[in-house]
Amino acid sequence: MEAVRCSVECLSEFSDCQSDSVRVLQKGVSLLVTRGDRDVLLFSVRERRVTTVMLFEASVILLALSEDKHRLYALCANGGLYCTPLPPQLSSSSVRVNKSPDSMLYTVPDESVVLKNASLQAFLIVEKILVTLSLHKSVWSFDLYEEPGSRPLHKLACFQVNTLNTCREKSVSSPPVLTCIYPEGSTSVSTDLHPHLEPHLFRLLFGVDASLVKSPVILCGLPDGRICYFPLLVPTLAGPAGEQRSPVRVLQSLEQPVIFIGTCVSGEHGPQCLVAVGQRGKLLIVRSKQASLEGKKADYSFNEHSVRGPVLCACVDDKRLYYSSLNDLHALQLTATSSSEATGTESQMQALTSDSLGVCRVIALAGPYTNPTGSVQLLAVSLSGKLLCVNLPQGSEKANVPRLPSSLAGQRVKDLLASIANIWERAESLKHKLQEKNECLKHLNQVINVYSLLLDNHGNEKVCNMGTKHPISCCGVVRWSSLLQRDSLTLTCVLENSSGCTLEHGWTLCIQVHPLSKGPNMEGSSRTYSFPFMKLDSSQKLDVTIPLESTGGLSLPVKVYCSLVFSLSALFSPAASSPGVSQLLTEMGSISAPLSTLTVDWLDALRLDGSLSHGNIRHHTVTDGIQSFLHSRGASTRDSDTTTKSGPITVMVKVSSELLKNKLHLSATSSAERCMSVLNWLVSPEARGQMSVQSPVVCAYGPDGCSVKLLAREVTLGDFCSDGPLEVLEIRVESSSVAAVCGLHHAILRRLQVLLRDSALKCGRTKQLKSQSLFEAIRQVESFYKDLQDAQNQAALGGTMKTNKNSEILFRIFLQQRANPLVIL
Amino acid sequence: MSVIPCLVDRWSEENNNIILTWKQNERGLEPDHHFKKRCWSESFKLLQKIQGIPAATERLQLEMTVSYNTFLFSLDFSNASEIEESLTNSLLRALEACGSQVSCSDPVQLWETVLQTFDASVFVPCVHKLLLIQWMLWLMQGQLERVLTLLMQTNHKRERSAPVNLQTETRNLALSTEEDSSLKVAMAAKDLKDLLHICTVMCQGVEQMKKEKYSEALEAFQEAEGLPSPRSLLAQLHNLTGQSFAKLGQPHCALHFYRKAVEVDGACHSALYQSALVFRQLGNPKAEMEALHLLYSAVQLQSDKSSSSASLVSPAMLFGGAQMSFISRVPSPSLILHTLAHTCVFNGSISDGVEYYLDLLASLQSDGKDLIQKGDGTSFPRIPVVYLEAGFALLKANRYCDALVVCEEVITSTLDVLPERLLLDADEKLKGADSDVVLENVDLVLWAGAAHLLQAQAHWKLKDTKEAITDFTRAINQLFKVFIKQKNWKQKHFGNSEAMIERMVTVEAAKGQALAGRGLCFLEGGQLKEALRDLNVSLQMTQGCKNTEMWLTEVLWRLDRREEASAHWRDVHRIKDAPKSIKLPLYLQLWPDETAFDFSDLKKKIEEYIQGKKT
Repeated sequence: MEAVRCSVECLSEFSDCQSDSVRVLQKGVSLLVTRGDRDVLLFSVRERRVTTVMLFEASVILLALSEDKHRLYALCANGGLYCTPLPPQLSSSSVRVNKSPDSMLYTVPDESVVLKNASLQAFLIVEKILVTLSLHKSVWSFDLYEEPGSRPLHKLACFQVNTLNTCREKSVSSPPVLTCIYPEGSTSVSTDLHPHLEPHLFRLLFGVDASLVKSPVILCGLPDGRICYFPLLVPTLAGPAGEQRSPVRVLQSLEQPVIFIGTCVSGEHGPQCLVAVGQRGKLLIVRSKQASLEGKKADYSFNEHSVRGPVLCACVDDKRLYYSSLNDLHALQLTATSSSEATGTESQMQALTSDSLGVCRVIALAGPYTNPTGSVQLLAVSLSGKLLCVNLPQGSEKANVPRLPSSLAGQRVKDLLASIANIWERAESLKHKLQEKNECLKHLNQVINVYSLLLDNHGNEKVCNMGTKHPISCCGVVRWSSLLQRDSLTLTCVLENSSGCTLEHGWTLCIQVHPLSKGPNMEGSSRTYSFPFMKLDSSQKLDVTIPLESTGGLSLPVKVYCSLVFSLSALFSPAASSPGVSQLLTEMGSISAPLSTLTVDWLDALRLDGSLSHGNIRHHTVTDGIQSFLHSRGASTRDSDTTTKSGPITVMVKVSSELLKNKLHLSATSSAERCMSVLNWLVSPEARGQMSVQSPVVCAYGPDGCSVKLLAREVTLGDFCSDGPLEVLEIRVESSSVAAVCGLHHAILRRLQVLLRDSALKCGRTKQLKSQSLFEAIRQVESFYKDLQDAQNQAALGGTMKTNKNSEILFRIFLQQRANPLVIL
Repeated sequence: MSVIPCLVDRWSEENNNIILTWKQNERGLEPDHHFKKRCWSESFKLLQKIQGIPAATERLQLEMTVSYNTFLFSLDFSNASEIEESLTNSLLRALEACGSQVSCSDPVQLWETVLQTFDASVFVPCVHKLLLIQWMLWLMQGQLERVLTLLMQTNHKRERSAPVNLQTETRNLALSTEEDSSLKVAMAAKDLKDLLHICTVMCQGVEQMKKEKYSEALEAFQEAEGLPSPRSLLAQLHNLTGQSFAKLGQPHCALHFYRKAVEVDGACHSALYQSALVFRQLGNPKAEMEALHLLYSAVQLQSDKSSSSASLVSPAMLFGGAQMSFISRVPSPSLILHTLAHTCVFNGSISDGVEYYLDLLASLQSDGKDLIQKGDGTSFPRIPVVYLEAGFALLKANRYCDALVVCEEVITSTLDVLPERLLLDADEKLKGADSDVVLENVDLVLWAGAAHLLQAQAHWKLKDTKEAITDFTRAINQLFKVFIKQKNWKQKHFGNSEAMIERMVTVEAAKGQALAGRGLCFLEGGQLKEALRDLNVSLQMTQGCKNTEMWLTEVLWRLDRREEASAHWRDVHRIKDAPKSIKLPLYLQLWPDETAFDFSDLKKKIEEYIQGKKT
């Protein structure tokens, strides 16, 4: 399949076109071009410029000339069929020589609508009859009008065909195609505008009646693939049983939208083949089989072939079918006998081979026309809006090309250059596509790399401890920040990329904040913050800060989950992705990888002295002042805490010093230093090493502004252990606020729990505890239990006991329990 | 508020100007569509201006009159539902001006309110003008019940003794149609009312006809005849009356009314066509031919004329498409021509028939638009049949060469599509498409066979016996492609469709004729044995053909089988001439002058022989 060389001449360049409604027509020395918008351009080939622009009311879908070629019919998207006389310089073939160099703009007036019907799909003018095809409520109807007629048009007849239910395709996918075919030898005036067919095949296909009267036949390729026909100039005939019947018959179905219907392969009595081309490349060729033996009925054959689709447009000359699949323009040699017939085997029904003409992106064709110099040319409009004139190679079957005379060499070079430019354009577009594809793949590869890294470190989290650094990590620091005289607790997350990869565009850092306790005002209010970023190079950091307070106020503790998310649609640049791919991606969504989980508790939210802004203290002191004022007057409110009367509440946690020493790797020897470093660990764990706490007492303010005291001291329990006296570190929390005390107590226990859980297995040595101390402890717990049961019983009895008294008792039990805790060993 | 009276004056003047120019144009000869459109748009603009400010009683008369004019102009340019919408709008505005608010948009209720509100006020003439528009719109849509309700609301004061029906209501309708000279109208309310009245009654009659209640229809038409009406409408009325009479089995009354219709309006083609049908029914071919001929020439004359009318409201508009095509249905010119030609040939006026057939063939080749049918329920015969009939007519007119040419057309066109062999089963009933395919194939064979048969007869007439025998043989070969499974299908009643049985009879008749023809040729050439065989088979195919029997007698006589010959002779004289079979297509009809053979000699010989035997 050697490419046939043809020369391409670019006549003009317009802007980009909409592919499905570009039409080009030739009329004498002028061309009529519409590009799917409201303009119809009249292009003079000789002057190589647009002479007139006809502006219609809506975008033009179809164009046709009247039979005398003096009027232009245009079907517009608003359903109006307009008929307008062509400007005089077009309708008269006389050449005007540079009278007016400017283009004329001619607005087609509203009055030139001859027919308005929103369901109009296609039309055709033949024998001074206007044939329209419209689709209304799943009925295709062919209407025949007199042309040129009075307005409103005089309707002559109407035939209807039902749509197929099986066809779910939108009719907009491709408009129906109307063609009129004459039997060869018809004496009608307007026959040169429409294709002919040899009488023999015509008779076989369209019946005795049409062929006797030599009536033209209207063929219609519907979007569902059916090819219907009806004879135009035959009276409604009686059916075989004398009844009346619709003249519309179905010839064949291509089962794909029909793009083109025409006749081809000139023979002795006119064209010998009927050709129909479907959008997806199905090619139907109808040929007649001559009656070979006497008495055998002559027949015709339907041959279906397939060419590479999608076929955008097609045209024929007497030997070849030209069709454009976006990538190339092909010329297909057709023969009067099918290949299978010639060789006698059915197996040869493979795809026909076609010659590539090397012109890409053609979306509309007209022609072929023989120009005065004798060469045959096609007119084409490319997707980029170029109006091309394709000079077809003549006599390509000749093997050796004769030497060109020198006078033509210049022209030849020009042609070659033009075709090089054309091929270059095609190559460029292919290269661009390839590049896009490669980039996309590269990106995808990187994403998968990053993802596997993330999954690895997530899987190994249990094994590797805090000390080892993940290639991509995220850690958070809780800070108080003050903005507009208001303090708020914020979490600053730092995403650090210490891996070798670069996090490209498309990644998003997602932080989900999930309160662990559910207060009355915040019904499970977990929030998610996403931070898409453009690029994070290796060893770069990304800081993001999010507020921890929600609308319902601060609710501690909260869990913070950090994850990296990649949305797949970012793989494709928005312009390049075809609708199918992007739709697939929106369904597929995105991939996400967890990074780390943090817990923010009361200890994190403590404000040590000095870091508190002034406003809050004042506010606090004022509240306190009012409170104390109220107290002094003895008008304390009923619901105020019992603690306000009885001073600060104290809770205590006792941990074995040795255990802490081991776990925290404390080097300090003195008990005071030990206490300080433990407090330090609790209050500011991130500042390991340097001591921010210089005394065994830490005074701080809770997030609600109440003052809190944390005390640590070492005591020796002599009778606790059988091995001897046990050093125990006592951590005490004192505050006037119950909430603060509880929160801190919980936070300390949680910290200890985490600390101990991390290395529970390593702790091998058990202490011999004295049975008496254990007994003590058990008795104490039992007494608590008894008290609790009593309280419960009283609550159950109800009536006599008031609820707040009941809660007072419960609170007392609670405090007692925490004031004298068990020792954590 | 001195502006308002001034505006009223200016608007009134504007309205009057529009109407004046319209009236001047109306009197002119040329109906101008564009002029009407201009009047409409100007009037419409004026109405928009008036409706741009809130309705008030002092402007109500003006507004209603302009509305009335606009609606009349708009009939050609917008559809009924659009007009109805703006009519409702006008009524609501009128009510608004009087301070009564109506929210419902149901026109019947709306009219009730309007009529009550404006009862016995100065606005009654204007309201009644709009009422006429509503009546017209409903009449155009064929909603006669709603018209009745509307008219009953208008007549609500009258005591009703008789049962309510549309005819009495329209008859007793009292609308005030006085005109206000200061405000001109495009069409006087009285004229419109009269036109609506007669059209409503006619419409009702047509409805009755469609329900096949012809005497009720007659009643309505007779009532309508008493009303003033334009000429063309009166002609249609007579035509409809005639049709009702024809349906009631009174053809002479029908003819009387058809004649009246044509007398009133020469362009009433439907009456001509209907009278042709009646003449056929009465068996008066001469009159039928004359009627058809008149009709054909009238239709040809009319086709040049444009049908657009100058007047604002035409009866065609009021009846709506379906009604109108029912009233004035006429077949297409080509079908009329075919009917005319067929009737002429069938009834023996060959030379006329031939001319008509030749005209018809020419028009089939050339006339584009006239051939396209309007879907009025008539269908044209198949084109090859027309050709064969033309060939037959030419043959009978002794234009043998022309007949040969016409038949050749049929032969070439069917040559490629003929089936090889067709086996018909009289007992098997085929369904839908299968049956159609088989029938089509039988038709093709029949056409080809008949074409050869006609050609053979032409050759025979041209004394070219050899060619005749060849063509008869071809005809026989073609026709015998159709073979019927059952031998006795003629006697027994089989389950096949009527169309199929008809085809079978036709094919058998054609076979018989072809064989008889060939037999005759053989007889002429002296090949007596072949002649005997063919004639015998032919008689098996078509019994009771006197000519064939005679020829057979002749053959027998010549073969010296005198006893058989004389027996045959007696048989032949016992049976009568078979009547012309209506069922057979025209091109296979037998002809009295078919003999072309002198039997007097034979007769003498046989009589002598019988005498001799007796003595």
